[in-house]
Amino acid sequence: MSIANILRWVAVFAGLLIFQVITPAFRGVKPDFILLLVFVFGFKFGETRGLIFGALSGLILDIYSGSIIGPHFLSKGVAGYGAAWFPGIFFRENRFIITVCMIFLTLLDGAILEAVFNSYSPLGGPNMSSVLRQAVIVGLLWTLIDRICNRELIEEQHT
Amino acid sequence: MPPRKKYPIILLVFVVASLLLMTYQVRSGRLSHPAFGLLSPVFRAINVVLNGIQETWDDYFALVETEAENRELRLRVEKFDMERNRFREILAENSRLHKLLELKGNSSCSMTAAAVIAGNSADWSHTLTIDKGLKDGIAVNMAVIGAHGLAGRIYAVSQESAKVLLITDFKSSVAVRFQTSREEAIMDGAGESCKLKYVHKDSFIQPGERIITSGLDGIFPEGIPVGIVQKVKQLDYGIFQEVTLMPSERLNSLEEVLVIVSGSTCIDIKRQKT
Repeated sequence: MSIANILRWVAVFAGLLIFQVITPAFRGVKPDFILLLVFVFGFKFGETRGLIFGALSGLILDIYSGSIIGPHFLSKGVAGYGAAWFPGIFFRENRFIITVCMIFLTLLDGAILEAVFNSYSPLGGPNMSSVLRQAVIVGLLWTLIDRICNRELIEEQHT
Repeated sequence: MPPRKKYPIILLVFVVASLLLMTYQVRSGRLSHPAFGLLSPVFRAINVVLNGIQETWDDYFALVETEAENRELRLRVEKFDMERNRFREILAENSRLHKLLELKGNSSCSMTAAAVIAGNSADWSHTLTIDKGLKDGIAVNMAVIGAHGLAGRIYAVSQESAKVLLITDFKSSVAVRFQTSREEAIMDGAGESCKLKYVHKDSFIQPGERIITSGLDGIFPEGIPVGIVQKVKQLDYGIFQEVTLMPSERLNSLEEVLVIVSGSTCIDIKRQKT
């Protein structure tokens, strides 16, 4: 991956982080754009890069939150890895299966955050109701992204 | 295309390392990472920018919501205005009916209440239509009164409604009496007011004197308030004086009336008014 490419992804990350902060919550849930970006990255570039990108994104989120380093680091890293690994065991061009995988990974991300925060933080983590709503939102947004840039996503995997 | 290599061991190491990292932080009591302290000025600057963007964003949404809220509130105000008007009407109607009921209760005559359903806008004819007719026992020449006094008499009747000739109509004639002097006279309609006929020049009449029905015409029961003397004019010719009368009842704004279905005197009304 070239420097220009890396900078491009960093810029997209920064832009989405800002957008996520300023986007108002709908029924108590904000779309997790960073998680979507991690999914896209993992889906395009494979397990290892997905894990690294996810972990770094999570690290920034953890540092930004001012709490312990780890919850987002772990959950986003697993999500980045899973975004590449799950489609690998299924037929990648099957959009429905991939969307279901992304929904499952969102639930897994929420479950990890909940488990970690409940174990390590006195404040506790997100509740399952908001995790479920987040999964639906991410599923819809993933479908949208897949519709718009499916060819680019698939082509990138073969290069 | 060969299958891509997968490194589950990397994931396993990553998960274990993350858990160890978090456990270490919690065990050592360092719930906030030193990196946060180092980067806090940067985050503070980012937060200032983000807060600015968020405030602008929120203000925009707040404005959109305010507009919608404003629209909704306007609709509610209009609705409340309509309801308030309706309640005012009900209150006014209640007050009018209360007066009519008082009148009915104080009178020895048998009466039927009726609502005015139509008027007559022609300036040469002063009539109105009520919602009671033959089936309610209404008949021609029955006296019609309002809350304050005589209104007129029934001159035409159908099954469902009846027409009332108001005392101000030019064709109306009522036998009346001055309440104080007890002198008799005939009252004719004169458009907006009434005129008294056959009031002798020698009679001492003053504006403000009350006029009641005498009952001598056989139509209107005795003792119903008719009006108040408004103007007295001594004529240079003849033996009578000209007396103008203002009806007690506001005939232009009648909405409910009582029809006297039986009884030749309404003496209690007279007592009440005197």
